Amino acid sequence: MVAKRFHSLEARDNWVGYALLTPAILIFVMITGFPVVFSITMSFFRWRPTETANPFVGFNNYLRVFANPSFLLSLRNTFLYAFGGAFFKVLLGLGLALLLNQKFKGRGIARTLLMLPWIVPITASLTSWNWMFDGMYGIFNIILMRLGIISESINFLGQKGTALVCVMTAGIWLGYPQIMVMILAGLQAITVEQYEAAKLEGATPFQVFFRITLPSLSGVMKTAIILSVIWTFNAFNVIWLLTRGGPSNSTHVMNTLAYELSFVNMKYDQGAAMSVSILIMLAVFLFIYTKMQKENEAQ
Amino acid sequence: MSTKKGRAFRHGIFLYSMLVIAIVVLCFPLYWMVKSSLTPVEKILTKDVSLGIEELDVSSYVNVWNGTDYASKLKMKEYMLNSFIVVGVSTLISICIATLGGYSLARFRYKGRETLAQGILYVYMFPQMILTTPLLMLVIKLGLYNNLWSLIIVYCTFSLPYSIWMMRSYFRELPKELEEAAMVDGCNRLQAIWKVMFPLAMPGVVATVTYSFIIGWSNVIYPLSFITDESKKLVSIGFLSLVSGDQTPWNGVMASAVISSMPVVLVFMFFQRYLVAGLASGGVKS
Repeated sequence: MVAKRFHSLEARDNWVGYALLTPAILIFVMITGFPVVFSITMSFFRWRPTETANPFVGFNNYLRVFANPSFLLSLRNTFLYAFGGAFFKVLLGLGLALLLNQKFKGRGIARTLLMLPWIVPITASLTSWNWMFDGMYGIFNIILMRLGIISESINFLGQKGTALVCVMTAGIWLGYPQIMVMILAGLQAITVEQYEAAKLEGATPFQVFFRITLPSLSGVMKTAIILSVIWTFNAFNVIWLLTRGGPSNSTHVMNTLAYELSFVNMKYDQGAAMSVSILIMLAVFLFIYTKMQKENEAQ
Repeated sequence: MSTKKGRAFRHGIFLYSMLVIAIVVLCFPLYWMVKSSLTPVEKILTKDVSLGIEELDVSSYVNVWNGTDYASKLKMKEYMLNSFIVVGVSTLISICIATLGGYSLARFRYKGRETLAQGILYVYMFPQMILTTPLLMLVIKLGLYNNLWSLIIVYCTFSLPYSIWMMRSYFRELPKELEEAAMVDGCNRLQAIWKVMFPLAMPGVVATVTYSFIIGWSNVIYPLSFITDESKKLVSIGFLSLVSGDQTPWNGVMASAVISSMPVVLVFMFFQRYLVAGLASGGVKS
């Protein structure tokens, strides 16, 4: 009798649980679920804002997008940007986290200053990069000229050879603080005893780093790398605000190309096909991420 | 003993010099933003510049704030107000929904709970690009184009997934006995959440609000797509209209950039100790 009453109470309780989560679910269905389904649908129809008829076209939009001369370039750039960017962000984040993990005066201020690139709104910081890269009066040109390294100004963002490097530099600068904070938390989880034991055995600082610090960080580092790849894969702002994919489409990533197809060329259908392709590729990374999270939890 | 001291001293010198180099290099773009904003307009487009701050000319700030001189198209006052409305209201809505949702995921044992939690995490990693076109069409259909409500509603979603996760982890750490005691004392569950759990989860609430505020303030793609009316623009993109090729008044652009950064930088300075703990637990801001 008691057990039965308890059971029914719990069942009623679960109902409250669902109710409390309902607002969140409703918002997700409306603002994420519906648009995704709609985009997938649009990618199989001819769908332009200027036309009223929307005939079914099968995989035509996908074929059009894959045949677009900028597509392969944007694919290459996306991978270069995501994996190359992740590599440098982790390198920089690890180095800075190791520095910040020491005990010294002013550590809090140093950490705040090093996190600023993440905090300052992206349009503010990117217009500053834009200004620094300026082809005439940008500070990079002026410094390089004064040092005698170049004799004529370089239009950093306006020429093919340099634009992608500039965009990647700004992207790494924007993204390292998150990685730094994650690795710093990982470092702080390593106990003093582990270091003491290694020192007693006579290990050199290098041995301590490679035998204790790095292995203890492997979980955090893996998560940081895959998250960085996912975030960079979704990158739109840096490229759009610095180059709009130019010069002559050389810095397009998949997201900027999708945006251009939809909102500049007004081809909603092809833009949708492009974003669905991005989603499918992203699903692979999300799968890896989920697997890694489960491994971390198991440990 | 002296060699040990000497080694510690050298270690300290090395540490500080590495840090100073890192900070100088990595903060340079922000320093340059401030420096340029304080340069008078006639000295901005010239090759005769120095790296130090030589003048403290605040006329660029006055011009962009009041929309005078070269900044006559700019309405910084309105942009700031619009941003505060959109980010403020959406953050408020988002924290309420995230508190309820996070509590639900932390406390109840209903079916599909883990799947739902995992699904919410995926939402947070979704590319905004796939959502933008359908949302724009929806916004137009609802007559919300050039209306701040379109942004308020959309802004709720992109901070919501992570906020729910953050609140869930805070609620998990609070002992169940507290709310049970409150419910024995005659509170219903909503009252128990509001009167007992919510105040106890305050550090989590502060972290979540700070996080929502920062990523909302910086968002680009939605205000870029939903708003064309000059007086409805947000500060994150409003001042970009001042950037126009070779004749860009960079002092004014940089002053606007500094103004638009101030709210988030201040919020971060005040609440960073809450936020950093949340950030470290893995993954924020796409």
